[in-house]
Amino acid sequence: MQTDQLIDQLSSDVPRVSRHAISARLGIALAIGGGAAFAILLAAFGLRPDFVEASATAPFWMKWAFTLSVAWASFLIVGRLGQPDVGIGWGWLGLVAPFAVVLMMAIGELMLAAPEQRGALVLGRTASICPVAIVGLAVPAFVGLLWAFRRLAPTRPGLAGAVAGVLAASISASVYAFACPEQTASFMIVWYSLGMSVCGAAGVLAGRWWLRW
Amino acid sequence: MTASETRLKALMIEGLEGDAAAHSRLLGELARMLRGFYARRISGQAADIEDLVQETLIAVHTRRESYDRERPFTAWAFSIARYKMIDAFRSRGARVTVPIEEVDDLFADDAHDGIAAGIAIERLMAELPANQRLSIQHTKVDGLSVEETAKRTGLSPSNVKISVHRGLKALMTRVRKGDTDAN
Repeated sequence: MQTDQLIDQLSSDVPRVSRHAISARLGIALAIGGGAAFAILLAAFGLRPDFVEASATAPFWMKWAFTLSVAWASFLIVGRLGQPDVGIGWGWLGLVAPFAVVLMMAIGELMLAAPEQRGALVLGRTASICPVAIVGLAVPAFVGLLWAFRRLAPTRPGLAGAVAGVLAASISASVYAFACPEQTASFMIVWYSLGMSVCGAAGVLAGRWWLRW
Repeated sequence: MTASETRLKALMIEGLEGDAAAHSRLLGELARMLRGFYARRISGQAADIEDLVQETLIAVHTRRESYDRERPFTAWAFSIARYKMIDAFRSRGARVTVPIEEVDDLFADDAHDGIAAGIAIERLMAELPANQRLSIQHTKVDGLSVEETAKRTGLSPSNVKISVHRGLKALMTRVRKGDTDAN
């Protein structure tokens, strides 16, 4: 085709684009993906049995503080990496910070605990389910992000995929927190982080495969 | 540069507001600039260059949501152009070749930050093993022959050739990876 014809054809479809198009598109992807994950969670696990009592305790909210901080930081980075001329910048600090805080809390927790209790603090009762659930529930949000990226221009597909994986996992972890009965920072820093890391690693591969354009 | 930045950015923003005529003019102007951009960097058939121009226009069009109105437009557009060029090297390989004098253009943000690009290439060169770095420096920058380079570096002539080849390959890989690091 001649380039002039191509231009005419492209110019026949010029919808208005909002100033916040990137955030809006990512937000839609995450809302739908997170909603789907929540529906799956209710069907597969239900809410944690002590949901109402637990909501009066600090660890219950600490979990969301952690997962939502990771979500917010990775959301900002994904928005940057969706632009072809913008790098990750200082955004990684915001992503590392929540992990650093929870790690410190976990170390404090373990140091205060009696040595024979430390294993239980880390393993909890659901260590074998938690990372699997986080990875599984991240799939809808991740698919949503791949869709969002079709309108964005990530020039580093592997990196964009990795951070999208962490973002999807942090949304998934926030959803899973509705069912998760664990209360310790030691549990979170190991098993929540494991789920998120697996998603990040899978995101690298998925990004290289699907985010090239 | 600044004149075209101002004009193109205005057209882009009008297009984002839904003005199809402005969008069409923008794509037309970009097509002309991209032809020059690719022709300077790639020694290929005119048809290959036109393919790249069209692919880039399509990407600019379908991915225009990724443009932030607060940022320079040409940096955005030529980042897409560079991505498409690197992608073409990767997928078409033999059909598109870069003349060696133009390799550092791969780093350049089209007249935008030529100096930064110079620093970037120096930094990347510095990361290469000494034999690759010196071989490239002597043969490609200082213009010495392979034999002269071999004498100066103490490598055998075939080693010089291999070092140049491997060094350039390593540079290309790093360009691809580090392309947007500057931000």
